[in-house]
Amino acid sequence: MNLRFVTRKLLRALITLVLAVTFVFVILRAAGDPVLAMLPDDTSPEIVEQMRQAWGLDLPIWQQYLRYWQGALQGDLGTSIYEGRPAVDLVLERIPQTLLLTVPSFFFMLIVGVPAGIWAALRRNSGVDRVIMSISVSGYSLPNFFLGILLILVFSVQLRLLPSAGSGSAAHLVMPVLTLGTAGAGVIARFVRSSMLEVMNKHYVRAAIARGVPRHIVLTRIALPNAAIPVITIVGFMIGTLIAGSIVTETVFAWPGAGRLLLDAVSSRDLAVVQVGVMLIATSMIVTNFTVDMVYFLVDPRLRYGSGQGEGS
Amino acid sequence: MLTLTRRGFASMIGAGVGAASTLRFRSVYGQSRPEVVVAVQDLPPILAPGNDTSDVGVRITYNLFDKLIEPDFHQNMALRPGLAESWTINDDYTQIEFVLRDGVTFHNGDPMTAEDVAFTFSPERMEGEGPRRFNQYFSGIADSEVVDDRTVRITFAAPDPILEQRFSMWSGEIINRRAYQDAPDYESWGRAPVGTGPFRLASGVGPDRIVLEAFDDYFDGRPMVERITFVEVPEVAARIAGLAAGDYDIAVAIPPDQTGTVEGLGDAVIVGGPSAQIRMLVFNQGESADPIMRDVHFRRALTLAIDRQLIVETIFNDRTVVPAGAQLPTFGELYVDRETVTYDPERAISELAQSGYDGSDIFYPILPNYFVNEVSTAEILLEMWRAVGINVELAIQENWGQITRGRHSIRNLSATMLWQDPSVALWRLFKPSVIEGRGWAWNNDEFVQHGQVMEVNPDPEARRQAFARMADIWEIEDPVGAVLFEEVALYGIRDTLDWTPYSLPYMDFGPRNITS
Repeated sequence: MNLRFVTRKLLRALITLVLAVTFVFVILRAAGDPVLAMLPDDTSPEIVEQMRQAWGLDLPIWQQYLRYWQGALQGDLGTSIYEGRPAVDLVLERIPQTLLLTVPSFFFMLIVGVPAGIWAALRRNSGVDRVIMSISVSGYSLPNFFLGILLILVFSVQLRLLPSAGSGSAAHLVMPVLTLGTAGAGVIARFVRSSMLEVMNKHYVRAAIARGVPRHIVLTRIALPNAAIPVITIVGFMIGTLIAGSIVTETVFAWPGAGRLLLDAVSSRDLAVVQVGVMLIATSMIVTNFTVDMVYFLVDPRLRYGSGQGEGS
Repeated sequence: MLTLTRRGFASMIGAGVGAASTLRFRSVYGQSRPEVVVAVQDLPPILAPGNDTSDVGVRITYNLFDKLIEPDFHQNMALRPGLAESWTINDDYTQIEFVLRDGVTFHNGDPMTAEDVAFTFSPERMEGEGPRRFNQYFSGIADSEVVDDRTVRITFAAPDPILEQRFSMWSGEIINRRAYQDAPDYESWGRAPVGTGPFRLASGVGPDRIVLEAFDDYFDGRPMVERITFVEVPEVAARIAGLAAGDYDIAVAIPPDQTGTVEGLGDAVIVGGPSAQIRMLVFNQGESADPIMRDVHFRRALTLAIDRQLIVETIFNDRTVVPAGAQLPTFGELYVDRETVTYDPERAISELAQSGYDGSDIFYPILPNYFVNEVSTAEILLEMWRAVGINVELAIQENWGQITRGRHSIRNLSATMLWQDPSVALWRLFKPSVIEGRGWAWNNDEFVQHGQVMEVNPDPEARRQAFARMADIWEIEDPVGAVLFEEVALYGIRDTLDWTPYSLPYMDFGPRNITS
C-alpha cells in the first residue's frame, strides 16, 4: 500500500460523491415539485407560487444546483423544507438509531453465517449440510417485510415475548436485528461453504493433510485465510444491503432511524435531507470498499508482495 | 401466480390471532386515569395550528387547542360556543364580535385574554406566518381589535356568509401570544405550542412518538385520560399486530378489507365509517387533457358509466355511502334533497355515440393509495368505462406534482367539508380562479352566476337554491367531475375503550368525548 494508491482511492471517492449528489439533485428535481408534494392538493396556486419563491424553487435548475454547492462548500447543506431545520441535524439525530440496528445485524450476519458455512462445508452432502443450506436459502429469499411481520406474529402476538414495534429497550432490538441480519447470514453461509469447498480441494490443502498437519491447523491456518478472500467481497456488498434493508425494517418495526427519514424525504421531495442522506450512504459505501481493499491487503500476501507469487493451483 | 401483499399478510395475522384471542389484554379503564396509546401511520413534524391541516396533524392538535366556536360532533356538527361565550355578526356579514369565556387558562399558566384572541387573527400574525394554510382560510380579515377585556371584533374586507363556520374550522385555533412571540422561529413554536386544550405536550415532538398529558386546569372539565401517546407505525399490518399484542389501544387508518381481521382479534372493535370528505373525479378539459374531454357528451358518458353503489359494496365492504352530490346531511337546513347521477350504461353508450370518440386511450394518473383504496377504485372504474366502450389508460405516479403538472384527463380529488355549507366543495374548488389556476379550462356562465350567491348571500334559502342548480350543472348537465363516495375513516380500538371517532380526522380525547 502506498501514497499513490491512497490518493487515487480518495480522489475516486470524491468524484463518486459529487456524481451521486448531482444525480440525486437532477432526478429529484425532474421527478416532482417539493412544494406540491408538501402542500395539500387544494392549496391555491398563489400560495404554491409564494412557497416556491421562498425556497428558491422558481429559479432555473442549474442556478439551484450552483446555489446548493455554494452552500455545501460553506458547510451549509440546506434546510429541510418540511421541518424547517438544518438537514444535517435531522439526519444526524437519526443515525445512532440506525447504527443501533445495523451494527448488531452486521455481527449477527457474521457470527451466524460464517460458522454455519464452515460447518456445512465440513459436512458436505450430509443432513447437516442440507438443513443449513435450506435455512440459508429461505433466509435470503424471504422479503424483509414478510419475515418481520412473521416474527411479530409469533413473538408479539402469539407468545407475547417481545414488543411488536418501536425502540427503547434491548427487547425492541431482537426482531429488527433478526429481520435485517437473516438474509445476509444466509448469503454469507452459502459463500463461505462454496469457498471452503473450493479451497479444501486445492493441492496445498491436500498436501498439508497428506503431510499429517493436524486437521484444526489445516482448517484455521491454511483453508480459512484462503477461503476468506471472496467472502470479504461479499461482506462488503452485504453492508450495502444492510443499509437498503434498514429502510424496510425500520418501517415495519416503526424504528425511528435514518432509513425511514430518507424514505419520507424522497416521497416529500425534501431535497436537502435526501442529499445529506445520499452523501452519507455514498460515504459509508466508499469507506466500506476502502476497508475491504485494506482487508485484502492484510489477508492476501499476494497483494502485499506483488502479484504472481503464491499461486497455489 | 401467487402474490403476497402486505395487506394480504395482515389477514394472516387475523387468522393466527384467532387462537390467541383468549389471552388477556390490559384493561384501559382499569386504572383511575388510564393512558391511551394510539398507533398512527405518520406524525407531523411540528404541531403549529394553521401550518398543516393534514389528517396526521389535526388529529393531535385538536387536543392541544380550542377554537372560539366549535362544531359539536355529537350533534351533527351543529355549532356550539367554544372559547367564545357568544358572538354577533353584523347585517352585511363583514364583522363578527366575540364575547370571550371567562377563566380560560393556557398551558403555560397565562389566562386567555382578548389580546391573545385578537393577535391570533391579526394581520401581524398572518404576515409573520408567511404562506401557510392559516392565511388561506383567513385571508379576508381586514382588522382584528380588542373592544374590551372580554370582547374582540374581527372585520373582513368583504361580506363572508360563512363567518361562523370559518372560525369553527381548521386554523381557527386560539394561540398564546406570549409563547408565539417568544419563540425564536416558527418551527420552534411548532415544536412547543401553547394552547388552551384538554392536553398539553408532555415531551418534544419526537421522531417516533408524540406524548400529550392531561391539562387539569382545562376550562371544560378535567380530562379522563392521563396521557396519550401517538406512536408512528407506518405499516398497517404492524398496527394491527400491535393492537393484537396489546401494545396499542387504537390503531388508525384500518383499510376496509381489514375490518374482519381486527374484529377477529376478540377484544378489539372497528369504529368509524363515512367521513366528512367526499371522493371525486375531476374531468380536465385544459391543455394537459386529451382533446375529447372538451366534449360534453363524452364527459356525461364517463359519469353515467360509473356504478357507485357497486364500488361501495365491493371495495369498501359497505362501510361508506354515496352522497347526494357534493354535500352532506350535516349541512342541516342548507342540505338539498336531490337526484344525483345514476348508473345508466345505456345512456352512457348513447352519449358516447354523440361525442365522436374514436376509441383512443384517456389518461388517468393516480397515486399508489394516497387515498383509501385508490388503486382498486381506479381499476374498477377502468372496467366500468371499458364496458361502455371508453378506453382509459391508468398510470400510477409517485407524487401530486406529476399529476397536476403533467398530462391528465381524469384525476382524483378528495373534498373535505371544511365547513357545513354548500359552498365548501363545488364553489371552493371549482370557482373560476381555481379552474384557471389548475388549468382545467371549464367554463359555465350559469354556474358562476349562482356561485356569486355563495360568495355574498347569507340567506339559507337562496344558498340552497343556488347549490341545487350548481350541482346539476356540475355533475349532470355540463359535468366537470363526478362524486363517487364519502371517504371512510376506520379505527381499530380495544373494546374496553369508550371513545367515539368524529367525521373529521380529529381524535378527541377530551372530557366531552371520554366522559367516564
